Amino acid sequence: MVWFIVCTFLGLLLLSTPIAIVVLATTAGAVSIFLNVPLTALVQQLFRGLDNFLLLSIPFFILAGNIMAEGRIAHYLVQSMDACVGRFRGGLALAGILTCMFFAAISGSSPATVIAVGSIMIPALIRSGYSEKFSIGLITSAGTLGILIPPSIPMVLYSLVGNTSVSDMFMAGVVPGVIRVIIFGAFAVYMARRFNWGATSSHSLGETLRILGRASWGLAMPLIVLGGIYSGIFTPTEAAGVSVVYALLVETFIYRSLTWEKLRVILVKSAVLSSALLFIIACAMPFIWLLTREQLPVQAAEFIGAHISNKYVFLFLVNILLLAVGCVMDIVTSILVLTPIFLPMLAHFDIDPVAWGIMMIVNVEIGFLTFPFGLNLFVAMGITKKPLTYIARAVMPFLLLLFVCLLMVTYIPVISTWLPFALK
Amino acid sequence: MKNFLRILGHIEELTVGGLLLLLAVGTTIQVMTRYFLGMTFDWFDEGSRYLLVFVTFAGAGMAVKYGAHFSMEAVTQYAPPRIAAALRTLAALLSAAVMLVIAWYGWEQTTLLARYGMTTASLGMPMWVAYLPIPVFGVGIALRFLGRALGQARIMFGQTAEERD
Repeated sequence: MVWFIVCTFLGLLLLSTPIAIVVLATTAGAVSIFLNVPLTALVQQLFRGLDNFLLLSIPFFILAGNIMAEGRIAHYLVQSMDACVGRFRGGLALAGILTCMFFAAISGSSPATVIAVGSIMIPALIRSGYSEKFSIGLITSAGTLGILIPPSIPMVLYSLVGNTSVSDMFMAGVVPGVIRVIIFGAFAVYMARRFNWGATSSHSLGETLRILGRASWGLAMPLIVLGGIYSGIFTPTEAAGVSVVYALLVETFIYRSLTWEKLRVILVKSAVLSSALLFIIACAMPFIWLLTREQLPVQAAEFIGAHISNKYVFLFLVNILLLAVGCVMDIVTSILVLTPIFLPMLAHFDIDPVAWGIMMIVNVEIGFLTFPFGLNLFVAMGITKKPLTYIARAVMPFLLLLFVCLLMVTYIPVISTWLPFALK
Repeated sequence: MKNFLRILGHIEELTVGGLLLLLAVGTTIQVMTRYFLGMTFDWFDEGSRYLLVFVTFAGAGMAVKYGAHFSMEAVTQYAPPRIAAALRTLAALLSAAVMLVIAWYGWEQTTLLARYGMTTASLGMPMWVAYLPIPVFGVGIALRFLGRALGQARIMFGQTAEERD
């Protein structure tokens, strides 16, 4: 049966069949050939997969992100970051990274962050004298902070199949995210000084305050969303719903940037992307049910446990596997399919599921940036009208920095686990 | 006919997008009433979960139309155009077949639930209504995949622009 699953899966995948259908067809095939179970059981699993209040957060986060990107919130965020740190050399690049961080703290997606920040920041960086390649590489890679800094859609997915709390996962991403900001920031400032890039902008104190004041509606959002979750006022799903309404109210009544036509475009775009994601989740649930029912993950864990005894070697090999998978497959499927397979091994090697989750998220971030299927590369291609290979080369130095971060979260798990436990 | 389909498409898009917005507003109201008035509505939680099933299956059809379903284009991207079109036709036909199978068993499950008269926990709504989007939109998704197969088959058999010149 394992061979049937692997061959069908790969065969359909190579045909360019939509991944949701690949998973569904593989499961349906395996169930009807090897199990004595009617296919209505599959439909029940399909339904049960979606019957979860947590999943509602995914369309909400997408919707909120699109509203802010189409409206003025993202724009004012960029301006306020520039006003704060743009006064010294390398400051504008730093402002770009910080805006990505801030936008990440109000949206849960990496491509959305690149669109929102990149379309304003990349031209601004180039205009102020930064090399084009560096500017594109910087924002395209800093956009991956979108899924490491809470809230984060992939973290919701991981919690869903990994039996961890979403709030813990969200908190666990904060410290690795800040470390990333520092590493990227140091590199950007070093490059700017070395090559003498970037004019410095100087805003008077009054002007800075005025810009900050105008952006305060957007700046307050992470406080509302994360503060609300951790003070127990609302659940992560409700936080996502509230952020949609908040963004909508701010854009409509305060910034007055939304027209009916814009809203229609935002709604359709969000609905299409959300359903594509939710549909994969629905289709993956019967597959996970099949795996668990046949105890395949447990068997795999026993096999690996018998052959690899060292935890660090195991972690290293898993990272290689995840990186390879990240190069060819989309992130949602890899989280949904791989998490249940690895879960029994975590107990065997005494690995914390939260730290493991963050490790997977960083792998996913790298997957966003690797040729030829990295989603962020395509988004950057859309914004800058440069060829894919050019953008893939532009993110190279940042990929190396990301590998350093990956090693850190893999081998120093306390980076991830410290904050969620400190808050308990 | 074409106009009718276009209007239907618009209604579909606005229904799915509008429902998402409505659910977000509902969730926010729920937070407000709980925080300020101490009131919670169990039916909202349940209703929104079933609406999510509706949104997903209705939206999955739209996603076929927009080509938004994630797929791995490793082979098709680098294969010659006609072979790529042939592979895509095959993939779309297979997808349509899979969705028809799901719709069929979804219908069976729906009628089964209707026969047993099961109702949902807090709304008291018949359970089969919650399952109904699976067979109905399952057929819709299959039809969209068939349309896609047709489009790709045209590329496969038709002349490409370069050959005509």
